Amino acid sequence: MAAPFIGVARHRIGIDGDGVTTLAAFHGCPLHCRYCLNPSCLGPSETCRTLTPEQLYQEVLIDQLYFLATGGGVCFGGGEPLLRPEFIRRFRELCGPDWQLTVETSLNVPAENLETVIPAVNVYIVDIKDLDNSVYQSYTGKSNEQVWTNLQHLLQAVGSDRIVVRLPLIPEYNTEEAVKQSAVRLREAGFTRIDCFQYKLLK
Amino acid sequence: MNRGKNICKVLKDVRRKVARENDIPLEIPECTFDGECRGTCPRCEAEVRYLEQELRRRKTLGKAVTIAGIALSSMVAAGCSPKQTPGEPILPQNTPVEETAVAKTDTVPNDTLPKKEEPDEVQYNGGIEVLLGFFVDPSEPADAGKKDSIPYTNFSFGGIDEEVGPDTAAFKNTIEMIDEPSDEWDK
Repeated sequence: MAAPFIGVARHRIGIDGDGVTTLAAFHGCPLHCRYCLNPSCLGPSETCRTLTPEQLYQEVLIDQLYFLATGGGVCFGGGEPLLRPEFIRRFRELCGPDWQLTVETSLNVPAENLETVIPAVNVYIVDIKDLDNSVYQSYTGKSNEQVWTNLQHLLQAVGSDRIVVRLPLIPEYNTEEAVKQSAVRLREAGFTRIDCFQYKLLK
Repeated sequence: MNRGKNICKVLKDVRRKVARENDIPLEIPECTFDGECRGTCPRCEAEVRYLEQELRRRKTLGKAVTIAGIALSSMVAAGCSPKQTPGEPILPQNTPVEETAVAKTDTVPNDTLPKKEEPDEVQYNGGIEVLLGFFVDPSEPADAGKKDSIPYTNFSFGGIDEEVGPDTAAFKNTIEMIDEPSDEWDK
């Protein structure tokens, strides 16, 4: 069950959820976002590190003291972590229930992938880009139909407290008004943790 | 103060709290390194190994060991309060949509998570018991952590509300490599 990783970053504080966290970033993503922060996840995988869940667990174990003391743990990102649901499920078996496991995901994955990780993941950080499908498709190259379906299912399965929905203002793609409308729609749907922010392009 | 120093300060505070709560003598001298760092160093790592060793010793002696959640206040002091919204709000205050603070996430009840796998042989399965089982032999010197050099990739990913990559058509490299990849990668 080995998977390619574009990186494993220790000692992240306040970025990927509560406490001290280690980010494990998978290679591979179903989207092709124009302003992707980690475009190497779409490049060739031959240069990536390949790790099994056991190997990753042994590697991140070095920071277990910090995880337990601060309520932190491991955040799976990438790339798209929910393309590797069995990996995450197996990792939870290895680390036990005391570590906080977070995923940073687009939720643009098959429903069965999400179903596999629901028992294993504590918090979901979902960057939905924009609820307008034309904007979403223009920015990512893919439809967002599955995203909304998965979001609703996730809300029913785990509750709003464990879902952080991130709504970005994307230069040249959406507007403040559009972001506001998306936030209203999400609130009406029952989501309570909504993070509106702005992409800042590197010069 | 640079990013590495900020990280070091937080981690140092966590170590101090763990030591204090468990009556472990630990003096952390002021770091005199002047420059960019990753937030940890061989000395910092050795202090962690020492704490783990001492916690194991106390457990063996039948003393109570306290670790879980004792350094949550360190996160608050670091500006990572669970009640703070990580992103910068872009909506004016008088809009009907309120900026919702990121509430603290409750730990998932244990009975909703898969049980730890029962190993045929000793494995590290997480939690306090695993932490104690992970310790080095108490007879080993305090700097034993130096040899436990587990290779890792130290990429610098931007924070989720920081700058994103430029147009991929003109993309060069938005991932800042702090360290060159280790030869251990290929193992």
